[in-house]
Amino acid sequence: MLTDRDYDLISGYLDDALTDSERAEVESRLLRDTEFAAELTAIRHTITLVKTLPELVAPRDFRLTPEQVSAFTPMQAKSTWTPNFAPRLTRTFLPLMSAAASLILVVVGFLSMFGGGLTPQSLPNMGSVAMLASESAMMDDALVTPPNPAPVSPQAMTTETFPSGFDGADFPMDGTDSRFGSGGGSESGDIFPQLGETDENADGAMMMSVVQPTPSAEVEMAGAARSSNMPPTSTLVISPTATDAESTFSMFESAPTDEDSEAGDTSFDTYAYQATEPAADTMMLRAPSDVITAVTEESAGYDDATAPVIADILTDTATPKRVDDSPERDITPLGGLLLMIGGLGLGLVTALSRFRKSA
Amino acid sequence: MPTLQDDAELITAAQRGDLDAFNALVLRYQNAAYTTAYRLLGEPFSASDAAQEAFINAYRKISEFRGGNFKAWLLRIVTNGVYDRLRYEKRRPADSIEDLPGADSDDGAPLVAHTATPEQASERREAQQVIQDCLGGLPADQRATLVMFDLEDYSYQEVAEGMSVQLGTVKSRLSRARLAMRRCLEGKQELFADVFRFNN
Repeated sequence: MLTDRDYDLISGYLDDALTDSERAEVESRLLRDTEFAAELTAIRHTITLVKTLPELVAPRDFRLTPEQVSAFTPMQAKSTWTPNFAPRLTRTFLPLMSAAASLILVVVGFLSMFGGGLTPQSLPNMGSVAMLASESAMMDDALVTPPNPAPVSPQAMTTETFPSGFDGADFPMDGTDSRFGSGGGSESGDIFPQLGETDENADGAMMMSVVQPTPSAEVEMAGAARSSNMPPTSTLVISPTATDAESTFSMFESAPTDEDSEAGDTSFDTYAYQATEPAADTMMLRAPSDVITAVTEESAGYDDATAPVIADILTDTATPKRVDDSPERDITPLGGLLLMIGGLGLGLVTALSRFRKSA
Repeated sequence: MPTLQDDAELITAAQRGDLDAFNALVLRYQNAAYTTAYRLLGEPFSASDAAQEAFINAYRKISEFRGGNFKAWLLRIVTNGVYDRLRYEKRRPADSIEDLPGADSDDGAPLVAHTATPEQASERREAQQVIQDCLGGLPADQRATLVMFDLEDYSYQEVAEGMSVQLGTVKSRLSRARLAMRRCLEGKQELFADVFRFNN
């Protein structure tokens, strides 16, 4: 019985690929081992048979067509795409413009990430004013009854009015504007203690207000909160009394913070308001919910002759939507990050492009 | 009969992108390319596809040809491509010889290049089909080694480079392939004419 090594020797012998010692070993065995010799003959014959296999005729024409080789050519040079701009413009201005765009993107992105987002305050020239949710959304909300307010002394209230001659009709009617700034000095530094418990008050942005109802106008006080941090809003529906018919507006004011009070600064900043179309018998005050609560509590301290009658409180529990007519929108930190990445990427591409050209 | 110079001129033109010149080379060697693919694959349709693919690859790589035997260079491309295909198929469930399309007499064996009398042609065709069947029954690596060495006259070293294996592996595979062919053909001696019989 022959081994694998025996067949390796036979195969190598037939290929003339053995060493001298291996060849001598094979030739020695051929003389004395008939089985080995027979197998060598059989393998040789097998090789002969295999080699008899003829060359076949190709079943079809394998010549290449231009379509088959259209994607490449034998001497294909590495193509370099160049924009079809004027070369001078491309070399000179395009990199500068790219660099400038990159810088702008990075800066805007940085401000957006670490500056609390792009706002009208951060970018005053953007010309947008944030407003709260639309009236329809507000009015669709359910009527709720405010929590029982703690009685508040009339002496604790601060009254503030606009200059005479001002009426609600002069206020913007389209919900695109609001007023910020000082509403005048305070006559009393005694602020509602419960307001001081709110976050807004802690930020110095909360207010107390006195409602001066008018029988001839419906005024919606819009709590256009400080742009990026708007609290939930409510609408106070007031049935005014007839005793103060000359008043044509109402306003909310921001109360000074405790720190301000301690510093002697008791001036109030007008929080925000918006006049709406005049109505006959009611007045609607729209403001952050905390403010509405405060007004409700105030009204409890009015005397019967002058206090407005609170008909309803419409609570807008949804997060106020920003209404902005200008095309600019707040840019979230994520957007800022994407802007920064885009800017850095553009800058990198520009730099690499310049490097390759110079190389 | 094309001369080596003829090939060189066509190759030079093809390297400049002359498709007609390359197609002249295709016409010269397409039978050899197809035959090699068929011996390795044992199936005419796959062999045809493999040959076509090999010519496309050859056209892409023609700029890398540095002279020498163009036919050997081309057949190496064919063999490498087919061997890759065989290695891929090796990982799949193998078909028996009887299941191979080429093993079915209804498919018809490919035409041979040489003419003969009808009887001779029939005998040869039958014997060649038996050899082809035995060849197709070999493991892919042994089959490729046998075809490259015994049919295409590669050297041990060329086979080793083509298959990316050691020289000793080539010798071992060749030995096993020949032994397997010997046993396969021995079992079908009755199908051969006298000239093919072992016992002559």
